[in-house]
Amino acid sequence: MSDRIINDISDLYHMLDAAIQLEHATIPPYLTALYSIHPETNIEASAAIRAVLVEEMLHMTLSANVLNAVGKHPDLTASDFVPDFPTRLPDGETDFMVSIDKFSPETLETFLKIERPSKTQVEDNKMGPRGCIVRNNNAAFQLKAISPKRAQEYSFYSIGDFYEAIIEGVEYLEAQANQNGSTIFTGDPSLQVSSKYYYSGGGHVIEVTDKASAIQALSLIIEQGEGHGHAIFDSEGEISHYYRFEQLKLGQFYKLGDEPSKPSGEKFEVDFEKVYPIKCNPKMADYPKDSQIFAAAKAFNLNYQQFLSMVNKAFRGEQDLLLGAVCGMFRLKEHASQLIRNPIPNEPRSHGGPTFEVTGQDTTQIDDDRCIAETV
Amino acid sequence: MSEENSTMKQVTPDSAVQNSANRKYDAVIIGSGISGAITAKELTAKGLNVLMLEAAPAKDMSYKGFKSYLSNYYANASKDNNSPYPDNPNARMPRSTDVSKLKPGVADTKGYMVQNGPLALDSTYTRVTGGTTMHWEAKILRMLPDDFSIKTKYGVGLDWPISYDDLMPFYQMAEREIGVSADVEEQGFYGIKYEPGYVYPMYGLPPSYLDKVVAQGIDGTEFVLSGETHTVKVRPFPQGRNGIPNERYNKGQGFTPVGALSTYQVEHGGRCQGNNNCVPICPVQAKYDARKTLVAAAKTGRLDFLPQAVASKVVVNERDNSIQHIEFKHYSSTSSTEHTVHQIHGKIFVLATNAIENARLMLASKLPSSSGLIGKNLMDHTYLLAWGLLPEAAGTMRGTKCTSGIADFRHGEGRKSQAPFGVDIHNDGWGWATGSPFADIESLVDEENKFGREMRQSVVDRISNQLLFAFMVEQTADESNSVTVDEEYLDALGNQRPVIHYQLSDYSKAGIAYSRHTSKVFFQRLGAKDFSSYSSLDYGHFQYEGEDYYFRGGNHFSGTHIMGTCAKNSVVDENQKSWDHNNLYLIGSGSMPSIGTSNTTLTLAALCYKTSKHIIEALNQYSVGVVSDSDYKIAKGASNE
Repeated sequence: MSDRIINDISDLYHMLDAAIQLEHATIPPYLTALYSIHPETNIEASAAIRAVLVEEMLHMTLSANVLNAVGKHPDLTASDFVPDFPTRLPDGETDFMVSIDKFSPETLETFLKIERPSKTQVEDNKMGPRGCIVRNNNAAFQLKAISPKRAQEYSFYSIGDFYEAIIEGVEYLEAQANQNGSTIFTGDPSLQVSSKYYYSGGGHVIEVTDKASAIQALSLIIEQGEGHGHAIFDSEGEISHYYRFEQLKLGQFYKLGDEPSKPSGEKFEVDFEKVYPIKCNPKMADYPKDSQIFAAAKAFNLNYQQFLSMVNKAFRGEQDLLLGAVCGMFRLKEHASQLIRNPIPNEPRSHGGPTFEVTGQDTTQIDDDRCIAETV
Repeated sequence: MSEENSTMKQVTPDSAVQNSANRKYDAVIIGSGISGAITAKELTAKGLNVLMLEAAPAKDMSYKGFKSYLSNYYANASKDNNSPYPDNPNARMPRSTDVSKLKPGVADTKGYMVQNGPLALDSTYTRVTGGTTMHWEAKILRMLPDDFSIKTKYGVGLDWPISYDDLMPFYQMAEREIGVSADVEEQGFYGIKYEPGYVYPMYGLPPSYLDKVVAQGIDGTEFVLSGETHTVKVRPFPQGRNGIPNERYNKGQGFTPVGALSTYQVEHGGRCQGNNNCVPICPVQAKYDARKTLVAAAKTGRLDFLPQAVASKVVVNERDNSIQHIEFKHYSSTSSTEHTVHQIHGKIFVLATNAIENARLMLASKLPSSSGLIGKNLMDHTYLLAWGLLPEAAGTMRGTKCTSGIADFRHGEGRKSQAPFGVDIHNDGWGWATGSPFADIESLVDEENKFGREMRQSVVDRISNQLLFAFMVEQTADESNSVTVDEEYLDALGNQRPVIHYQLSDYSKAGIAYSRHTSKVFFQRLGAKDFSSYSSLDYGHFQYEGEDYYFRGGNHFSGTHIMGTCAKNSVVDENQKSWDHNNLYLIGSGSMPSIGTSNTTLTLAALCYKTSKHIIEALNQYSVGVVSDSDYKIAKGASNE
């Protein structure tokens, strides 16, 4: 078996599709934990989750730009695009489940696992594709990004390893194309999401038109997620996701020059009591059909699906839609809050939460008024 | 943003006094609002050392401090324009909620500003770090060229010693610093002109749906005034809030918006999200406030910032009438009046508090004035509100506070006989006039017994159709409108409080009455039901030609230390330098001899650039060690990256 994971352009398409799905898969858990925090409390925790969340949105957009640059469009409306929670993500040594859940010490542990830096090389696994290991429960992973298409029995060791494989593929395929006097960067440049429409979202978006900009975009994803060479801060003074979350566990900010696990910045409190008790991994089936919470959950899912359709269109040339997407995000927050701040009928100790059960059909044609009316 | 960018170095009173005794400070600036911040940024960029005294604490320089303002606002039952900013007995500020109807001949002392009448003025300013730009609306208009010479052209008010053309290059600088979103093609009207090829730093923000509904109904309506036809056209306002950067700005170099400050490890504020509580606080800091400029000044390492230091006296050197030192009172806690008194020295002194506080400090210092005009000619924009219900939902409450308005009554020969006015279309419904939406909920509960789903629907139905016009009417200089001080009225630190003497002239009243006439025509064309009413019990009530009206203050205090051509007719010269004291500058809207129909901030910011240029040149003549011009340009450019 070849050590290289991407050997032709369809492999690259598959991997980039998977990347967009993977980045998106972290959004429902982060968003739910963020919204579960009581308003005006846990300022530091909210800020940290929000910062990571918007960077995941940036990573998704960067991956979409790379995919568009090589001539294929993302599909956020595919039926299996949104995972069924709980789900699994690649991690370090032990498998773990990612849930839609309230902000809690356990959730924080999961977030730390999601963002834990890669150990890059898996020495005892030389037979398989680079950056991959064999897991005994490979079948449980529903995300495309977990396993290389041609070696389903293997899975990536970490999210960083997954992106390293894409960079390697881009370099390999572009070198091959150049030998024939062509290029893999045949996409329409007007489809690149630019900073005109993408802003305040975890850094500057990179327009991808060639190999250099593609590698720049993919490297930014690795660096923001794992930190540069596993350092706490990158060259611009930005803290990596893992250490950002670790601060919440330690109740203290890192300062430049600090050693891992020994922050010396300002101390703060994280109050896990100031959180709405959302039911873990709620499903529509958990809500009584005639209840207001059922209607709110349905409205949320419908709006979420509409939102994904809108972003999908924006990735296919209608970038203007991203301006209106800001309103869509406010609407999602409003719907999520209605769920999160109310108990589930007959389950007084559990509050509702968004279920993120979407069917993947294009719903942009659905009349806005209907969604609003349902929630009034 | 890294932690390095998130804090501003503060000095202690002792070290500031020590430094000043060692002649460290080229300039001592009083006040950290937009005037002081711009001056500090310009001077420090040129290599000059600046000490800034701020009366308020500086806790809002941290993300947590800023968030506490937001929490105050959310929690406060009153949503007035100072509601996020905590009461500080050591540096009090006016609040509109303090104002009530005056009894003739009786001064109202319950608020910080003593209201001596005959009319009560409900205007406010904010005494926090960053000043009133913390609560401002950030509508940011240039004045019309005609506004600079209203005495010559229309025989009213006072002329400026400078023209629009003199101020034009400084308007550009102010628009860069504030980060203005607007399209030149939509703003060049009634004489407003720009340098060839000029574009604003960012594209104009989109008009609200309500703006479009109103435009459809009233565009093209004609009014005849003094024989001239005024044709109405709804136009977008330039905004001091972040939008889409214009790639053509600065000869194709583009513009990078300045986002939220002090947001350690957080990124916010790159662009406006359409929250509707710009006044009193933008939750994401997409709206400009002076802290953005202050932080840039602090990055030079040449700004010493001393909060909780209230300037209490300006002391003159008898020998040459220059300022010898400024005395200030430093308190360690807002919950105690305990304080220490200090003196601070510098080469020059800049009073940048605001039109009321600058005059108050000068008057309290008992300095003789050649013109006798300090505190006089107090001006503000007077607002008439008119509110109605549109026949269909118009999306009220979406967008920022105000995105479009009407400029067609700001100009023309009519200015000889009645005050001109601009018109704002408010996206926040009847809030200003009636206290909506809170007042709507009260009446739904108390009067209609609504609750639950039905009440929520009723709130939507009531508010979505609300339309409010705010008519911003020019007030011209009048010496009888003034701020004074009185030993009888002191604050907790023993500083004299401002006493306001305020009246409307017939010229103002005629303008207000005509604006009411236009509102009736607009409502009729829009098919809107007019709900405006002006009770004789209202504190702003007055009658004109037998009709009832009221007015609201515009928070645009100005004119209390006007600029002019000589020491006899004005307090400061065209560079805002005191005629009487050669090392003292009184800066801000107090220097404006007329205010036209433009919100004052852009013009006062432009004046501060003119003044900074003058100060730098003046201090250069003292041959202080300033950096070369090319370094200055680099520093200025870098600060906007």
